[in-house]
Amino acid sequence: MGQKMPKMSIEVEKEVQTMDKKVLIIIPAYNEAENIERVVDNLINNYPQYDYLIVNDCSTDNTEQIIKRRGYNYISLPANLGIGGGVQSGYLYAVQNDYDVAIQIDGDGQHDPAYIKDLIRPILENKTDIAIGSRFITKEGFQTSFMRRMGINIIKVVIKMCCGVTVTDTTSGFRASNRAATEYFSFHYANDYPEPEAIVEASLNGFDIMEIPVVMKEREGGVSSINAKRSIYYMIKVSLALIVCRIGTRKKKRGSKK
Amino acid sequence: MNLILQIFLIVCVLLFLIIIIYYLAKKKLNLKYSLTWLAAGLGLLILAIFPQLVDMIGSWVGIAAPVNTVFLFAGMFMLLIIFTLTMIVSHMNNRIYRLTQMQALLEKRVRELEGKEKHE
Repeated sequence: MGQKMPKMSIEVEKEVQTMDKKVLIIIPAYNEAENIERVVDNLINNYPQYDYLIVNDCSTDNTEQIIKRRGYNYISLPANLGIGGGVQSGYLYAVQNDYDVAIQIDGDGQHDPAYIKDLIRPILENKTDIAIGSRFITKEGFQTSFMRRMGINIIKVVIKMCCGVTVTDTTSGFRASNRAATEYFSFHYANDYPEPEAIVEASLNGFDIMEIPVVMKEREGGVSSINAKRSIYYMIKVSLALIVCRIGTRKKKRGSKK
Repeated sequence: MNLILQIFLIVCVLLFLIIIIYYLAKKKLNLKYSLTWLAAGLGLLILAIFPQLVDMIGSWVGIAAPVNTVFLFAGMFMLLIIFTLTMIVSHMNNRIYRLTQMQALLEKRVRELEGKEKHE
């Protein structure tokens, strides 16, 4: 936190503009009993200017009891839909409640909410439709395992081939979208392992995508949804999905931001 | 083909069609999803009445034994049915997703409205 202090005075001005915009933070949570309180309390105490919504994806541990007892703002899915369906419910909520920006962050504390303002800024300045937080631009903080990085890089190449967009952190679930993109996602969002597919689909449908450098932390408790055995399935499924997506969508041009 | 076999086949196909129509009438089958079955039943009925069609088709595509023609078409029909079912499942899957999401959002609204009522 220390090195960010000098920037504070400039930040204060910028923050004023963002105050009148409604910002929703979507926190998908599946069996995050160990982390959820820390993540949400941090948001409530330090970032009260943003609204948040926990999407409890039918957790089998006591996540629901915790968020209920703490009186957090949450929805609870009656059946497990996976990360894609969960996040999409958040986008639906954002559309229904008229939010200007919807941000998705992981429920495990990997994403530092301090970077949310960096993600929102280009959207509010109308420079992009979607902003993705990438840990590979400044290469600081938790860089994940070698195998994971390799997978992320393969997906990066596939995405580049599919729609010509360069995204370095293709599986990053730390992303913000403006109203139009949020509305699009509320209708079209892949079911499992949705992050890379969302990039391709949004890009092919004319949404601008921008990457913002962030520093990520290693998850502090609980288990990640991806293990070694699943990662092969993951790679095949995602690559296939991206290619199918490319074949199935004509590149559209929306009102460009440039 | 011997006449008894032919009559047996026709009766079977008719029974099959009657069962489909019976369940359609009782509304236990959706017409939309049973169209493939009805079409297949009609096709089978035509083949059972005019078995020489099987020989004709077989010689066109170059299948020596007529039985193999029947098996080939049976296999193709099954693939078609299974594929239609997968399509239906995918479609239903999408709708269940949306339903689940909407239910969760409504549940939240109900919860909040009930909370408000208690306070008043």
